[in-house]
Amino acid sequence: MTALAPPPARSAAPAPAPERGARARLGRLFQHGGWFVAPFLVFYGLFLLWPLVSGLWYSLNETNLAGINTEFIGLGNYREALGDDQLWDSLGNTLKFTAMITPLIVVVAFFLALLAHSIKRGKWFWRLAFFAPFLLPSAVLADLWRWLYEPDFGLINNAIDRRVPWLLEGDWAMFSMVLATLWWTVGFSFLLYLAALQSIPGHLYEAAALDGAGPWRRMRHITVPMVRNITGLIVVLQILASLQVFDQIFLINEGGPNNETRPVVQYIIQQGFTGYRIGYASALSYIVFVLIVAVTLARLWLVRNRSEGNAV
Amino acid sequence: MTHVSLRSLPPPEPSRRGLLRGAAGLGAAAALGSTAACGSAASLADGGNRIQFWNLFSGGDGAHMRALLDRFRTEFPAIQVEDTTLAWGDRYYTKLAMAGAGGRAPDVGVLHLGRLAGFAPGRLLDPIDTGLLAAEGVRRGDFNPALWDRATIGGELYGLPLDIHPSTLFYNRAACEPAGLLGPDGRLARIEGTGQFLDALDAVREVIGRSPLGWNALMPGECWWTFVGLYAQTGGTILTEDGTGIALDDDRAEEVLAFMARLVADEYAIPGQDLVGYFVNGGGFVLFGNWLVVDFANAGIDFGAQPYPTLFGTPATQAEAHILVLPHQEGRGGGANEAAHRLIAWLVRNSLAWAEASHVPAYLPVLDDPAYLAMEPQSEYRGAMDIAAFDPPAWFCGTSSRVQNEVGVHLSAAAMGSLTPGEGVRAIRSTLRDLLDTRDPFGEGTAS
Repeated sequence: MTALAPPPARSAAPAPAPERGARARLGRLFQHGGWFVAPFLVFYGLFLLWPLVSGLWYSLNETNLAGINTEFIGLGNYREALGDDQLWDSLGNTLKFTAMITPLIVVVAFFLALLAHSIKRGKWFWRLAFFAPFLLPSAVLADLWRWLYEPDFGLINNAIDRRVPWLLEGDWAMFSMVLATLWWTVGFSFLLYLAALQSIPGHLYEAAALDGAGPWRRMRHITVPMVRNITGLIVVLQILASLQVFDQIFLINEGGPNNETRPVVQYIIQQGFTGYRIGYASALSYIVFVLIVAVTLARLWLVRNRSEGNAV
Repeated sequence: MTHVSLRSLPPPEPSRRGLLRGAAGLGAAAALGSTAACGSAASLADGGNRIQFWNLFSGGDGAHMRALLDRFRTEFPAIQVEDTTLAWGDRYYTKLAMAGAGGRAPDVGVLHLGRLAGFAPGRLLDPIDTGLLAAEGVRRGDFNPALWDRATIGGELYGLPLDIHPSTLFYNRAACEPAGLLGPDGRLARIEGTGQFLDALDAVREVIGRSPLGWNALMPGECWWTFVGLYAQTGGTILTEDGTGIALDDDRAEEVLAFMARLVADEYAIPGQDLVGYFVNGGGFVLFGNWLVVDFANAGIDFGAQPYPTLFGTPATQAEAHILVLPHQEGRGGGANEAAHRLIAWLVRNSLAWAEASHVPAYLPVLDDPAYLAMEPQSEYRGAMDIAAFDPPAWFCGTSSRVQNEVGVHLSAAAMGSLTPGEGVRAIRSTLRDLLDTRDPFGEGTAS
């Protein structure tokens, strides 16, 4: 806030007695261009802060979307959630999905970026090919992969001439979701890696080559450390995104078989919209929200510790 | 089927996260605000020649409904009908409920009969004026009494039945004829009992050299429909008549589950198949709702469609019904209300065109119309009306409901073989118990 205080030298009139409190701060803000950010603040408040607060309020009530029969029950929804096996199962599925896809994305994206970076001819083609799936809507992705995974006349099973139960058994189904999602979303991380690779100064490699470092050592001691920050970013973005996974799983398999791929977001939607229990669904959302915030804070903490460690 | 499509993967911009959280309930308030804005305050204000009609027909039946409405407009130019098609499923029901709770609902809506019990008649829905209906030439005697009575709650009619849509056995003539299963009229000969049915499947398998039945045991909703139909054939009901207790006969339920599991275990039906793809590619039979008629006909297949064969003694086939409802409005009445009654009565009387969209008209005079009797394969399953098995009359039942999700999952697990039939029945029981113990969200109460 101090940065916003008017520099004393510029005030022509004798400095008024400093006003205290939020009102004064708000007044100062608007002296200094606050009007320009006002539209943003209005939208931010209306579409983010207000729903956030009202969601918290709903979570303390037994209520439905129609807003009738509402009853304040305090932490009752949260207590119920603690004993709700279906919540923990679906949360477990979400974590399993996250744990499976995050390392895969990092490795595959890095590998693809290296490939596209080092290839000499037709660079544009490889970049486009690796990134293009990311542009598909989830409904298209789901349709595509449902046909690929078809048990009887699907493309994959036909090609390998076996009946692999892609979507029919729990572990296979989760793997299938990860595979489809990997294909769909790896392009984004690929792009980040590609940009990072392009920003590594060429003279580092030259110097290393002059010192006799082979390709493997150059990779290990130059490329990997130079893209470390991007790797950290990709990991955290991927974890955050995977904790909210929903649409492709819902569209391909509705969370089946036997709810073994049902992510927590789907369970929240089922409680809120199929079961009409918006209060309980809000409580579940808040539990997931806290989890996501915790991951973000943990990441911040890790980064800070690491940079402090480097400084020493 | 239309599904919510919220893209959830990178890049995780704040707006996208916000969107997801919104869907998850945190943004419920924003949703409430926006839906209230869709209410029909305007239609109430301008004296009654303008009515809003919300429906959920987005597939092949949607085009037929729009054509019907166009005919209505031509016939009654003084009445202005604004129709809005919303995505089928949870989204539709929550929007309609919110609009009704706010008292600013559309003048006419569509509901599934199975959802009526959970839709707070008298609170979210206004009763239909049977006097006004009679003036338009539509009376109780024109309907199957079971259907009309199910839509009557506390002596008031809350939904005018438009159709029923039964679970159907589709058969491909190209596969069934060489298997010797067709009668001289080219229709599937009568099949009775599980033994005969499996024999027929074996014969078709012989002809087409692959799994003879399209039935998706992986999907909880489809398993629920099949179970409702086949269990009704054992003569029992799942819940008590008032929908407050469990009436399941464990032995019969186990027998039905064992049969469903056998269809998968012996590879009569491969789970996870796309049913249209299966049938178009030369499949033998398909078990699914009648509305696939439109897809199959468009694909140019020579096929027929019958109600479920009687496998467990009593003829029965699972069915749902579309009913026309009057969502709750503050001070409903006047010209708009009369126009709404005229519209719903007219739609029912003219549901011959609706039958073309594959559904079985609920209005009996249309059922006897020679033009309907000539429709193929629609007329072949017209008898489904008399043997229709509906969802139990509880708030958590009906299309896209909790019972489909939660009991359906156990049915699917049993069919897929990950639960034994006995375990499956115990899981159904305990889930039904939980659902019965959960408070009805829209519960007791009178119009606000």
